Amino acid sequence: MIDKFRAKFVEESLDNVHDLEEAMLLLEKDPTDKEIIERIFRAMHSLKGGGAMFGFNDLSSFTHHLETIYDWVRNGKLKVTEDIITETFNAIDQIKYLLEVGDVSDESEKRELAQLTQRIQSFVDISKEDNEAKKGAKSKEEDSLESLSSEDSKTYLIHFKPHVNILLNGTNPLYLLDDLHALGNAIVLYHDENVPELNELNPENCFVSWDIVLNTTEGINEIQDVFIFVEDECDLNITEIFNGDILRHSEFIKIVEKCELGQEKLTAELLKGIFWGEEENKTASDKKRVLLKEHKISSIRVASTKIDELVNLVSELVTIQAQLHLYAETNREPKMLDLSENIEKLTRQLRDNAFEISLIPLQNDLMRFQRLVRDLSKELNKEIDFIIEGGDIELDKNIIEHLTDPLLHMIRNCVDHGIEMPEERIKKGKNPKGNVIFKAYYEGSNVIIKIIDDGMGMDPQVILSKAIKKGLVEEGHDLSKKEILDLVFQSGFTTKEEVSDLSGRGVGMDVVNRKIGEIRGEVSIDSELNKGTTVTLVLPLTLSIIDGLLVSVADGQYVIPISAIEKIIPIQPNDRETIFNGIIKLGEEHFPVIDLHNIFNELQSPEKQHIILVKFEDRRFGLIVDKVIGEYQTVVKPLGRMIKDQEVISGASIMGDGTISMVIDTNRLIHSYGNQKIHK
Amino acid sequence: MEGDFKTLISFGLQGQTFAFDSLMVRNILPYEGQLTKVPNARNFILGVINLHGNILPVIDMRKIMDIDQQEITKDTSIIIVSPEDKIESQFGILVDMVKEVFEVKTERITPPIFQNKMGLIESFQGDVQENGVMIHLIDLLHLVSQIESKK
Repeated sequence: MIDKFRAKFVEESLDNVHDLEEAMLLLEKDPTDKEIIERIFRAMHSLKGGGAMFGFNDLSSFTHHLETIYDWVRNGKLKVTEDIITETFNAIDQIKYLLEVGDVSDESEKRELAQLTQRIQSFVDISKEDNEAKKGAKSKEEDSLESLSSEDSKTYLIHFKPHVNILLNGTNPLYLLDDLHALGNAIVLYHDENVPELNELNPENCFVSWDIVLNTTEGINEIQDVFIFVEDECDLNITEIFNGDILRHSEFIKIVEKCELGQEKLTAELLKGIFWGEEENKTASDKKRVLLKEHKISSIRVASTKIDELVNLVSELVTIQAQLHLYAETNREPKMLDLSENIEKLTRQLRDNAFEISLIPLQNDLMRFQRLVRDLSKELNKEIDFIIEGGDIELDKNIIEHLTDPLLHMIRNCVDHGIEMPEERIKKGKNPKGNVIFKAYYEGSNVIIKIIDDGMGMDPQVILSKAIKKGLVEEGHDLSKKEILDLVFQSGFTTKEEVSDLSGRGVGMDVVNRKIGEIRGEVSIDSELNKGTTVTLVLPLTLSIIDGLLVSVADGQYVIPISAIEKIIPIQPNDRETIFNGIIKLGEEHFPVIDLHNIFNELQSPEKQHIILVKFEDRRFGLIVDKVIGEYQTVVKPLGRMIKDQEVISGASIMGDGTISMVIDTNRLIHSYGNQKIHK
Repeated sequence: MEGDFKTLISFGLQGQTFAFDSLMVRNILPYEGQLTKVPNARNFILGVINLHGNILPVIDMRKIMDIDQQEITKDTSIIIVSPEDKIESQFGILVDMVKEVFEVKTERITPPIFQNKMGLIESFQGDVQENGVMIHLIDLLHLVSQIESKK
């Protein structure tokens, strides 16, 4: 966890450093520009603060001195001179280095750092003419010399010799090597001396073995995990060689060259026999240069519009590919079919990749929630634990954008209205400390998010009587508990003062419901009086691609999301006559139906029709359509804002032949056409 | 000092000539019945089309301006406009025929002589005489805001 934050800090700091350099170059041109000095000061300040927070102590104390200079400059106590600028540039290089390695560990580097620190301090000292500061600096210097910290990466030698039949169980040893590369830097040597002559070669056998020298911060267990599925199919030998990185060591490079030529065999004894520590000291400052140059960019930041554009283009490619396939099939050109299939494979990978790029982990948002819970509970004098499970789940960034507000809202509800005051909780025999649990997990092609609190819960009777008073429900109706709880999503139901006093929940739940509906998600609520409340969100993984069933109604083609469909039942024209009051009887089953012909103002066709049985909350509804054409994976596109007020259609999709099909939102369809009797 | 020029695209509707600012026009397509109907949409929305993989709504200029319907001819065209320079804001406008692209000096555009409401269009941006023909300039941003305010 903390490693992740450190990595993020380094990344952001490098941005800061970059900004700093840019500002310094500007300052060089105009040393009196106040705005630039401010900018420099700010960048240094955030480097210092962040450094201290993430354990970059040398960086933090070093930047502190630097910051002092610019603080003086800012306040007019010091003038920017050529010397100051030059030293600042040196300091920036040092900062970059410190970001790379963390705290410096070896003596020569420490001395170098101390010298630089002193030079920087001298600028302040000269104008101060104060010897005490120098003394202070000296002692500080000594302090920093004492604070020893070592590089925490280790170098391992891995000997990996797969058994001849390893390929038979579907393992590709190359993937294992990829996994190793993912752990750290690795140098891989292969041994092909066992490979037989071509005419004797059985392509289903594996004759190759590998020696891998891996430098990683992970432990030996992590390395073993890579091979966990092939443990019995190979000879594996992992030895720790050195407590540090030897991959760039000149001695090591020599050995590798020899091994590649077959002059030497790479063994643990050979590597262990060499003393790796010494040279590192000698080449320390060289190494610094090298490191600065070889800074690898492990992640890049891209404007989100660029990613949107990429996803759009890929979606388009998917569509065009479908057209190509259709063309190849109808023209029965074998060569073309081959090509189209290959392109299809590639497009699918490309699509998956592009969509993966647009996924971001929930984690970033969760920090904000944690903070919210902390601040709010302090303010309200409540004691609350905010527990996060599954924060590493990734979602489409467009979904996360839509999700933040509703989630904030619901968590605030939990803290504000759900959890009771500590005294009250003790009276009820509960732990005075309340729990708000945030739980996220994958389920099929959905992501489920639950927000669970163990607070006071909601009283169905109170909600019901409130709803009756507000005229949302008629008196005397028999409603199930679920139906009652669902009332809080009704827009007329929730006006703050009135509801929060009574039920302690329901502030703007209709807004939450609508927002989640916009991203094709569903909200449901369950509550037990005095035990707590659970709000469940079911969200699609991505907004733009769905598996759909293509059906026709009169002349139009429509897509119904497969995830909603339970069953397809063919019906004869005379079956339709059994529909009474919106209920159809088929065999022994009764269920409500909605005729899409009526909804879309189309004429009935006399032919055979189909009922698509879809889930809606815990009930089932039938939709009457003409023909079922088939299953398609479709890219859902928005209809543009002119048709935004559409209730039933959530978007449109371009089919293989370039025509457009409307995508039906079954939830909203049933809400607006099939559900009046239930909610009113 | 030379005056500024404005490039306009003119189109015919019910024997009259109207024009849009060409900077907001992205494309002109012949109408070939490629529209897909959107059920339950507002009456002036004819449907949607697929333009290079983007789905764009198409509105009927006759319905917008409250003019009686006329049969589709081979001249009937769809003008794709983008008032806000974003794909999301693009849409198509069905007109009787597209006439020409021409430049006029901005000073030649006069305020409309007669302010009259035509359907959703409250007023025209201006009038210009070109080759003896009166051309009425329509402000697309005004049109969009009229469409959006009408529910």
